[in-house]
Amino acid sequence: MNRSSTELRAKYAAMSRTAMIAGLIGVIGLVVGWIVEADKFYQSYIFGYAYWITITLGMIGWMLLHNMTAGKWGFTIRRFLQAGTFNGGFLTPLLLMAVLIIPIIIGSGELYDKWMGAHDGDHVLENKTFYLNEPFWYARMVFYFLFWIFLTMTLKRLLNREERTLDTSFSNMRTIQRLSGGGLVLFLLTVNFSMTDWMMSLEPHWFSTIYGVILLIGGVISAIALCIVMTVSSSKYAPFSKYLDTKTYHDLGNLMFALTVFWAYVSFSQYIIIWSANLAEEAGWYLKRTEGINEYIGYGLLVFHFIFPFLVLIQRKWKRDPNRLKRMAIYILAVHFIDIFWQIKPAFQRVGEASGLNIHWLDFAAVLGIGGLWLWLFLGGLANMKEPLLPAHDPRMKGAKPIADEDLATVNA
Amino acid sequence: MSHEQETHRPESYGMIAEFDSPETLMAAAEKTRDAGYSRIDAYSSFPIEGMVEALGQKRTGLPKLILLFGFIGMCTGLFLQGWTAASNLGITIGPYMFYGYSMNIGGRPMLSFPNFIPVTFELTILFSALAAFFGTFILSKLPMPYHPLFNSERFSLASQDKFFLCIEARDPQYEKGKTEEFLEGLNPDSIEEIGH
Repeated sequence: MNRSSTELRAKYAAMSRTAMIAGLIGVIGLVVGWIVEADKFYQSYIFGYAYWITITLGMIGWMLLHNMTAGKWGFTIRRFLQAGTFNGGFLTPLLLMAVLIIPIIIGSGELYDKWMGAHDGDHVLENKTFYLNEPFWYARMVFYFLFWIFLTMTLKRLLNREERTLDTSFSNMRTIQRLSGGGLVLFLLTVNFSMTDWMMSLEPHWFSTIYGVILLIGGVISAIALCIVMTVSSSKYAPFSKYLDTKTYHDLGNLMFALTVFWAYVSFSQYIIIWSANLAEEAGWYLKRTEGINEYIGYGLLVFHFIFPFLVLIQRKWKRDPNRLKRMAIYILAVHFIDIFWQIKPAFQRVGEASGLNIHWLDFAAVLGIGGLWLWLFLGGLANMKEPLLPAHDPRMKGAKPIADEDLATVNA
Repeated sequence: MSHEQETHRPESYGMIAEFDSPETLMAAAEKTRDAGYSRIDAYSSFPIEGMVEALGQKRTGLPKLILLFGFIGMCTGLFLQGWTAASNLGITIGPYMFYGYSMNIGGRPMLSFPNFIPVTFELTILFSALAAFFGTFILSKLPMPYHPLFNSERFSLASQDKFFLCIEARDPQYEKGKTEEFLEGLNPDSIEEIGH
């Protein structure tokens, strides 16, 4: 059951083609929807975009965190993190997300009409114009993407230097750690503000200082879940087959477990503050989301995004058995879909008439279209990556768990 | 210690073998376990991944105990708040009578579960943390001011750069000559019998 890394890359390439076809089907659906129902299109599109941008950002977060801390688990998933963000060349998921924001810009007049349009003497919005105005919104958007691309591009170059030079001294590490440490601070700020700009400002009267963190954490769990799915799927092929052990799965499972708890923590902290204060301009956000069927989705999230994964992932056997862990990871990716749906879609409903479910076939087309293209570039990037799929020459990986010399050949194959 | 135990006490505590690296210790532990010894222990200055399995040690019931106490803490938190804030129930404890005092705060429901969560959460964590701390203490038989292994001169190196494997005399398979022979087969740096 030990297959070569060439076969693994062929598998990635095949999956990448499947993803591309799925993506194209989704894109055709989106184009049809855009022609037929333009108003519904933008609502669904920003939902699909939110699902995948949070995962992309989650991957950047893991990369920065691992550069700061090291650890066996992170070396296993480093290539997935790189392929999911910036992987050299133009065909990378992060650049794709930068391009795919164009439909949101086109539809901004419709999505953000509450603050981009006339305020009609709305005092609250008038006082927010120093931040919520169109030129500044565009300038921030450009800055976010430039920063994310610069950060991941530089990290990619630095992290892969050892592969080219086989220089095993630690000279590179200090630069990487400094960049990741400083980058992490600015990264969290940019994520927080970008989520405020793109998602929170759909309801410009409402505000929550932890909103960006809630969305990011959802994305961070999904990013590690995607990495777990990839790791387990690759585990029978070189170079992973010789390197992976139960402890690595346990670590990855523990990270996913810890973050489900953190997701519950931040989500609940936002809820309890707004619930206790019970102020009109804050409570409206939850009123929409606790009306009609949205209420059951909200309770469902409590059970299925926290209590159920908590009770499952607290058990050792679910973290140490790769197949069970993979099943749980797929589950987390599915629940993130519902979470983002509940966060974004009720924004387009009004208090008092949110009894129905604001679901549309375009929602699925958006997630499939953007996701298909995303996975096409992600898997394609892995298949064509110049570097070996495990960073065998990283001096810190040698410290965590070195690859045996006789296996190095299979890594480089 | 009772007299009965005193008379059955084996002459020595056990036999220790010294190794140079965690890998050799691990290999030795696995061989010892596979040879059927059950009362064995390993000593090193840092935790070694996989050593618990190599020694064939069973997992303790501590995680379940912690879960139980966490659950008790959760119930305590919910009960305490439900009683004091949402009922007028009187409870007699000894000569004293304690009353709940329900209050309408801002028109919110008496049983305001969102507000109860922080305290419930904290008590859950507190109870399980205390259970984990004292459970570990008791199961490890701490505090332990004396241990027979302290009699060995070389054993103090276990806190520096040496690694020790100990087969205890209470092991049913323990026989001085045989065990020594077995340990020698593991190629240790030294072997020593430890008295009480």
